[in-house]
Amino acid sequence: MNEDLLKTPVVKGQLIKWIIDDKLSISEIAGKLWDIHLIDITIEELQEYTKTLLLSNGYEV
Amino acid sequence: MSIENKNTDDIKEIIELVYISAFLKNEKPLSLLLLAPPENSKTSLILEKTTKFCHYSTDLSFQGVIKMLQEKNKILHIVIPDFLKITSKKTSTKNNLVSLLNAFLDEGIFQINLGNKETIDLKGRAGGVVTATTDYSFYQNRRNWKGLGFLSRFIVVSWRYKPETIQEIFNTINLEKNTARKKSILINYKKTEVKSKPEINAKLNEISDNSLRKLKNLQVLLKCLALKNGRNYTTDADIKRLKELNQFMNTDFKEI
Repeated sequence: MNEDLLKTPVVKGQLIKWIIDDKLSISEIAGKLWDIHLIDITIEELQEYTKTLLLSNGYEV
Repeated sequence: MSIENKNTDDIKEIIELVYISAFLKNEKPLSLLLLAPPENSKTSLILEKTTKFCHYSTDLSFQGVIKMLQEKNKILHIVIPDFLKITSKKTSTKNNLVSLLNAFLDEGIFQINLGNKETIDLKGRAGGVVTATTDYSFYQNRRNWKGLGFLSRFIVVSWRYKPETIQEIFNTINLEKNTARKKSILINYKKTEVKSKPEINAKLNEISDNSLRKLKNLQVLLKCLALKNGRNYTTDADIKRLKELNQFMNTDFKEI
């Protein structure tokens, strides 16, 4: 529904925080994306997206 | 301009309670969306009262909101007189703003990733939004707005003036009474933890429309009523008053 929000600076920041700082699992992150932003994304798509996001921000995956 | 009558007093009280929510300890500030036809006093009602936690924003941009939150660390309510300011922007701008407000209304804004490893950290800034729009734009856009996610977090209040009420306002203007907007009245309370017993809270179930978010909002409004009445605990009198106010908390556009 709101997949375009994934590309916004706020959601990118949230994803990095949830993975690196809060150490949430990928399914917990998918749940949060739906609860907060109504972003409907599969686990596989989210895994792929977060991997690219982390690499482009200098994190090791 | 607005008129003084029992029904506008009810709407004014709901707005005041939403502002008071910023003074509750351990509760997130409430958000409010006012719906009414043009020239039905939405803006003047929103602006009648204020708190030290309010930021009044007419020019709403992504960068502008971030800058404001960085500079003003007390702000808990962003007041946006016209909701269309958010939704009528071009897609990328709207997405940035909507994601920012979604985070502000939910778990807070933390890191904002601007690319090239540049980030801004707002350290979990969270709060509420108070805004308004017309009945027409609500009906035109409600499906899209629902899809944005953040509208479901708002308490929605609607009304429309009866022809007699409009005539009353015309008469006031014709009498050339002072209709200039007065300075907003500053509401101030000490930050307080208000307690509400489960048996009191349970009395709100019947007016929650089976919505968990509405039930939670009603529980916070109940605490606001207690604080407004100088108590740190809720009572049956607060329940009674909230049930009266609830007649406007819907999209029925009740005539007043």
